[in-house]
Amino acid sequence: MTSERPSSWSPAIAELKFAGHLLVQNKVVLAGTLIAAAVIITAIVGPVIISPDVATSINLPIRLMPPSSQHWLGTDDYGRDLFEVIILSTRLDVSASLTIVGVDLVIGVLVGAFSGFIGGKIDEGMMRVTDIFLSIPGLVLALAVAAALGRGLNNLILAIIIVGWPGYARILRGQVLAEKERLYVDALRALGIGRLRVIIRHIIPNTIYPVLVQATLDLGGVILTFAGLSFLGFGATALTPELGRLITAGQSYIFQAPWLVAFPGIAILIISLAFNLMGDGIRDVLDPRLRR
Amino acid sequence: MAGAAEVTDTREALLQVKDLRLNFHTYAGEVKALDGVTFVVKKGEAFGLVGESGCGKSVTALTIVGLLPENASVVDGEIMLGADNLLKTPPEEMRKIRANRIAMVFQDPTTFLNPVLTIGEQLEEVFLLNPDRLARVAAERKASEEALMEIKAEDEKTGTEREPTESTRKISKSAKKKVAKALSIDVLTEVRLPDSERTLKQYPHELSGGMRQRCMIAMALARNPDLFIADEITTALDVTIQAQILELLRELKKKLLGSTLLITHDLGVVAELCDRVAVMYAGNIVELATVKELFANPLHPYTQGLMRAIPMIDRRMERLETIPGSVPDLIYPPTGCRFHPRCPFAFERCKLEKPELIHVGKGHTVACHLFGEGKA
Amino acid sequence: MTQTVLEIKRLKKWFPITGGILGRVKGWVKAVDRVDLEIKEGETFGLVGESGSGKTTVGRCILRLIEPTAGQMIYRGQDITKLKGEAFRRVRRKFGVVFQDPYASLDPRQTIKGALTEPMKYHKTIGSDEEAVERAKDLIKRVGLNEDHLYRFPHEFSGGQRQRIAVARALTTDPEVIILDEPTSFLDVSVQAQILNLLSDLQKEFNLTYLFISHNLSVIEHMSNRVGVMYLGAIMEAAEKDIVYRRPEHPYTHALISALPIPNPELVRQRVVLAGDVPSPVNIPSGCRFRTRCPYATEFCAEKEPPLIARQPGHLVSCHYDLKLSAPIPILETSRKT
Repeated sequence: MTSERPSSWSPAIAELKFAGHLLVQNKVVLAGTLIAAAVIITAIVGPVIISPDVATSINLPIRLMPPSSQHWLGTDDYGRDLFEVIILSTRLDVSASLTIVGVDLVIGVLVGAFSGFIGGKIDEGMMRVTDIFLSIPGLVLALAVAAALGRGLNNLILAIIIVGWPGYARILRGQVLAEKERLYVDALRALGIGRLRVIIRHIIPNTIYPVLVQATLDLGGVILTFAGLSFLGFGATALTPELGRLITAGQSYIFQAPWLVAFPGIAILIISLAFNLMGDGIRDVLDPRLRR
Repeated sequence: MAGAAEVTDTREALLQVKDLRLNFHTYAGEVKALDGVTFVVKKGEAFGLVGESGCGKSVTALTIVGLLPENASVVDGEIMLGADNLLKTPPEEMRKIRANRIAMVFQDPTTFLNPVLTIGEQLEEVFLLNPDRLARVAAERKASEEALMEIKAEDEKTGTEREPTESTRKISKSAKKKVAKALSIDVLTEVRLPDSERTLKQYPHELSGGMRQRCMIAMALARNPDLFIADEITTALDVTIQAQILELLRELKKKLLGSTLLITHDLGVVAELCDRVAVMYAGNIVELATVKELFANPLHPYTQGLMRAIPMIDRRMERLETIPGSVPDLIYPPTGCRFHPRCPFAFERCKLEKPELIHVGKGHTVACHLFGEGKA
Repeated sequence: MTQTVLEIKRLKKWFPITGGILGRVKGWVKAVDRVDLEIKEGETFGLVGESGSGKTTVGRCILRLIEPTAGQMIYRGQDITKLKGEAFRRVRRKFGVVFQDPYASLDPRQTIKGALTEPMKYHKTIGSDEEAVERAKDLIKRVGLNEDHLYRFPHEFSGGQRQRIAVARALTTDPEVIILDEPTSFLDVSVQAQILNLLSDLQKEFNLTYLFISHNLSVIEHMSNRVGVMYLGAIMEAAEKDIVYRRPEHPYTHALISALPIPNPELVRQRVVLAGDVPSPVNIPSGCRFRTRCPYATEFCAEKEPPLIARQPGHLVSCHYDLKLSAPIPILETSRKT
């Protein structure tokens, strides 16, 4: 006889539905998202289809061959099929980036949330720490930390992680400062609910969106940083299938075999661009609605 | 619509709203906000439009002045201001009408007043916009002697002889400003702002809520409008400030030659200020009568429910009587009479057929199947 | 003789205003400057005042959402002003609150079930999860909603329904006192009636004590047993409701009651209209804070602040003079038909 009630769904799912709706409408963003999805699939599926042994199978007689029907992207200075190596590398690059951003998110969110909510001297102290980190350009700082930690893949990942979390902490702290003034927080406190629970179960879920958006935007940049520092010699060793490393190796042959530098470079470009576009799209879609 | 027109009073109609239907397009669906609103505001009367939130009273006012948001569309109906149908008036003409004939004052003075201009500058703007009107208003209000002397002096300099209204039109800008300033002080005094000269130099944020509200009313008066629309102007104010504004409006009512359309949810305000009142529910007018008649003899079940739900000081009650349920979703409004799901007297016909406004005597009309022909 | 449940003595809450490069304290917003009140078991104490009166701040101080600057708050003989830790947590459970804005007082990402069971689980007042859900179902029905509403989110409810949920949530810790901070101000008249009836019913059923804070004089009159009138951070008058509304002795109370528009066109009002605006709580007038708007102010009023004295038992007034004011609302000749 009267109105129909929409079925119950959580605000998060409702927003995602709406977001998806809008995402599909912007063609460029859609393209980026699809490519990003393709990249991730490649990263997962690649090393299954193409045996990881390809990375270590040195086959000097066929080295430095230009692209052909047998070797789509040519071969590198070890005689490895460049196409296969690039596919293998996506796993390393993508998983490293996801790990870095993921860990940074966790650290940044926890630090930002507690710092912002508790305030006082703890907050002051934390903000000075983040100030120090944020006052030095990220790449340079990562370089310094990586150099200090020494060579090796794990050290490189650690270095970038160390450098990356203050940004998220800052963003989240800002959100938390506003959120803790909201009426429902007062209601929870009046009920006697402790601060820890309020922060974890209430404040963080309500403030995490802008940080998540920033994280997806950062994916593209982190891939570049990771590949870039690998290119400079940190992280991956000679035979490890990693895009930055491939470019390092290809440098020496840039005139004889330009494809050794071009194709890995294009791959880095595509991956980081795709993640960037996806991040842009997510931000455009979610941002205006983040301001509640 | 037979019987809906006023038959008892012989005063002329200033504003006639006929069968106004309006929808809002939203992401969730079409909101049928106004469902055939009909009423008449006569010259010189204070007409109250009362109802709870979402009933469409503010929307009606915005439709009259032509300030609807983009997603609104008028589906049907007429709004006649004198001989003009406001719904068919082009935007430029509407702007002029808003400048000269209708003045609307809102609940929140802070959003209405320009924060970067002083009160004096804003009032001046209202006066200077239209030199003809300036002349007319000056003549009507008998602008202060000083200002008129200036005009006379200027005339003597140029050696011309004119009618006072003609003079004001043709004088220099600085002289116009003087007239405007004199009129501004005049109008601020009328709204009982102490120290009007000083107020002219102040910015809106320097004034309190009550004073800003008075400035808004002053700006409305400055136009000497035919129709003065006040949308919940006392709602945001403290009780004692509200009392000041109510007293002011009561005094101005006697002086204002035009009509007032007062929109509010507060029946107390209606009882004090209005001559006639219409009760709105879910986009319809459900009852319309003189104020005395409505309070003495409320007929529509919603009106009755509303009056019983309000805690009133002059009445002692254990429990307030409530209207069960809640306001309907206007995207999927109830069939027939929109109030029927909550009405204690609803019967079959109420679900099927929407009741028309029927005249039941003494200028009292009601839209309910319990009255008029064919009642159960 | 009914027990006193809550006693407030000389409560003060001053907010510092900092300024300048060094962030020094330039002045104080004296939101609450002198509040004394006493609430007895099972009664509703109406705290009424206009904006800037400090009434909301009093509520927040009692709940310890903000810390009082001075004064004492005593709950059943126990001083709770500075209580901390486990003892404080236990006392907190005895107080419930319903806030003004139903659209902001619930976590938008939490189901109603979560909102209701969380306090129970946190305080471990309920044994198991199932019991908590059972109790939640009980409470949600008690406030007039359905069981399946538990699985929905706040945005799916109207303002009135959300306030019902807020009331249910206040009851989850088995409180004795509920602070109601303008609970119906954002609601329509017909919904307000429903909520007020609900509050009355619950009060009788659970023997609750209410501190009802509002600027709406009609609602306060309907709900309260005793009423306290606040102005610029202090109590001007406190007494039984009938006395406050019909025979007030403080000129502010008198003006306030006479200002109220009454929905009765037959009534001719002789209204006391106060001149000017409310002073800022940063600059409270010397002596009696009401003197700048009081029609009866004298020079003495500027020199000394009148203490809050019981002129008759139970009737406290803060005014130097016994003004013998007329009834603010004239008695009706004609009775209303409904």
